[in-house]
Amino acid sequence: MRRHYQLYILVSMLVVLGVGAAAYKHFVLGFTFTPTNKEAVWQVQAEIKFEAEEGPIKVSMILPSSDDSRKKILSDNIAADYQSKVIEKDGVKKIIWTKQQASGEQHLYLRGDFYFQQRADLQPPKELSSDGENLTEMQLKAAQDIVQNTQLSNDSEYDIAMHIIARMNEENDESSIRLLLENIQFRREHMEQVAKVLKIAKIESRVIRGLRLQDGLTQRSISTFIEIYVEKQWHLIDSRDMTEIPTNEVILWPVNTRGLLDVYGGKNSSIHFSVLKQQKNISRLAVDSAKQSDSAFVNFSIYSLPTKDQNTFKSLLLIPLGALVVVILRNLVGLRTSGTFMPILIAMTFIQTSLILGLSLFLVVVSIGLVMRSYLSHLNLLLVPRIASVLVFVIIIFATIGIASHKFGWDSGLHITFFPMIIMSWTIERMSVLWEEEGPHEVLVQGGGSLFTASIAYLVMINPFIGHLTYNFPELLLVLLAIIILIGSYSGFRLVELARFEPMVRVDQQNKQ
Amino acid sequence: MFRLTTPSELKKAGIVGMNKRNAFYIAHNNPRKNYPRVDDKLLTKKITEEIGIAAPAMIGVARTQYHVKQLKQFLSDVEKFVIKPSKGSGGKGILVVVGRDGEDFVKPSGAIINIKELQHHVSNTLSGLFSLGGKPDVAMIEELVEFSDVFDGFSFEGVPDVRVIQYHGYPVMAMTRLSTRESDGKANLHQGAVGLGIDIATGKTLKAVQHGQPVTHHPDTGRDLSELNIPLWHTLLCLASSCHEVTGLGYLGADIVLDKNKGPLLLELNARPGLAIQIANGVGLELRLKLIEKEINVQRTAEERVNYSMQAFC
Repeated sequence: MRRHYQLYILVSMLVVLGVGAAAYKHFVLGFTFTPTNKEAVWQVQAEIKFEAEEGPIKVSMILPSSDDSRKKILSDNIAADYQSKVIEKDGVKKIIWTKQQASGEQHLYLRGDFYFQQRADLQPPKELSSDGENLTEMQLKAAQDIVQNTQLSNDSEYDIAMHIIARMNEENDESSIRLLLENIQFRREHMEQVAKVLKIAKIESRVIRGLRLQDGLTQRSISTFIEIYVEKQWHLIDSRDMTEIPTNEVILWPVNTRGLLDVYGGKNSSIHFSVLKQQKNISRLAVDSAKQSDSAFVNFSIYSLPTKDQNTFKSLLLIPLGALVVVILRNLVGLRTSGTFMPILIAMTFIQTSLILGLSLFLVVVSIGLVMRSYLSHLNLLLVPRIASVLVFVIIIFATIGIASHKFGWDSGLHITFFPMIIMSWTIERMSVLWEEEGPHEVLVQGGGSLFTASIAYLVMINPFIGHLTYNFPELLLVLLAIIILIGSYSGFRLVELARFEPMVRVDQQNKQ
Repeated sequence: MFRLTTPSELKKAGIVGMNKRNAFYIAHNNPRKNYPRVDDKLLTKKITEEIGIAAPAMIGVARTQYHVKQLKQFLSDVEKFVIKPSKGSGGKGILVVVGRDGEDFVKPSGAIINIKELQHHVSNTLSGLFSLGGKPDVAMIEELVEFSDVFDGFSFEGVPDVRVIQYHGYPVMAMTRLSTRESDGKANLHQGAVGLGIDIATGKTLKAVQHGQPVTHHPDTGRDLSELNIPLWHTLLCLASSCHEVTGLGYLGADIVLDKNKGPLLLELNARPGLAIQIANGVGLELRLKLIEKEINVQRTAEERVNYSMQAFC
């Protein structure tokens, strides 16, 4: 019994601590429990890296455009011992860092928070692309051909433009396209060629560089887009997947700027971006104001980390939820799964791929793997080489599915790489052993159990309310821990046992009657 | 058909669930350090032999690949034997030889294998093909049990063993599992084998169930299941009970076979015996375990414990 008292004391302490801290944040610091009145704020962080060459250093970077529709609300840079200033010339803003002396690898960070107002976008074209002037005669002819062809089969200007852009992608082998894209190395030049062809079709366009905003991006480089002006409106097109980018999911750099980054006195420079979508609400304001007043709760919290690492923790914080789902389904419901925590990893994959797609990819990989593995079992291999062979199979299956789906134009097949390979190999190995020892029925039971658990865990993890709680109130993890500990000491019946032992009770009752 | 009952009904029937078994009976009574004594069959054999528990006699142990080379010489005048991995699970890797055909070996199915194939099997066993987690293992060579004919006609394939669950050395429940065509010769109840509860007091059939439903006759052989009467029942229970001290495990399952000449022999022990035995007996374990708990501090020999159980659980 003493053990039980200890357990209850521990559990109550955890609950008091967790709930107490959350309540403090709610009532004193003004965090909200529900994600209300939100406005999406994109926290974009640029990381500049280079090697200094023992001398004075000057780094300049062009800043993204900020106007009424795209507003930068906060900017802040972290660069040890560097002087920084922002200059504006011809409407283009630059940030310049200088330092007298530096050596070794240098890291500079620049962070900006952006948010977007509804865009009333009917500006007439200001900076237009040049027309076909730089094309050779043969290229001009080829371009005219393409335009004519396209105009025959399409009606609207928008369709024509989209068609031309799609047709001029790198993989197209048509000789006229190849001619136009001769000696072209950079996407920017490529897009400029596309713009020239569009001009022949009397469609105004401009090449523009920007960063597509997606929550959780890390280590991303800047991309080049083409913006077309049709039907009295600008449309920003990403030619790689032929999608139109909504204006509130991208930040753009000023048109006609080259060389985003200039480093004097350094070499091997690179710039990468990471993006985090945050909900600008009362909570966020609470954090900002708490930071000012040096509240330990916030200064020692996840918010003090760089954006890139905040992203990592955002997903790490979801894992305990998955663990709770596994504990409930195994110990309270009595579901059998293959591999205890494998379903959590699968659920994390589903977050990347979406549920239905993830489920089907999982089934395809495991079934193909099982067929291949059943051949291996004839060879009587030893355990480690056997798993290693299955691992090679898994990679081959991944590659095949990726390539095949890409060929069929079904790019979601490429999401397969999100699956953890080693876990998949072990799953196939376990399932195969289970098949041999217990028969296909047991494989279905455990495989189904795992997928069911993974799906439930996924649904819990993507719930925006739960996501808000775990991210804004990480101290609630203590409460979660308390629940798991409580379930750990539960010695009552599992749900499936109510069915399993049901015949015994029924027989008893019949005897009595 | 999917019918549910309520937890209170199950509690009233004294049924022990999985969580209760793990968190309470196993965690409190089976110290983890004693697990190897039952999980490693060679160690089980060694410690049970020391106190004279009857078990199939050991012919030899192959520990190294060097031993594998000597097998031909070693087995030259052994007619029948069984080779099994010491840390195997679920009956994997067990090779039974029932006779010789010149230099070659005859399996129960009538198939013939030569010494090379036999050596390959042993070699695989040593490198861990059949052991849990693929750990290196040793191969035990044992005498073949001359099965008693009491089970003739009661099983579709293979010879059943008797599972006795004991708590602190007191036998609390017993059963045997009869394979059927449906269970594919396997003794797994959820695959359709027949579970036969055996009366601790007498060694006679108490009740038979298949898929949780009562049955009276074997579905394939048609034999009346109530006719089964296990001979030497008292000896068998004493054998099971005497495993308690030597393993130091409070909640223990013992699998016992009946040899025509030598009587009950211990096949293997299990520190996490399943709960299906309650279905086969139609009785929950809880009441019996609670009764035994009152006797834990009374000093009794194995035979006295068996006598106590036979009186208490009739």
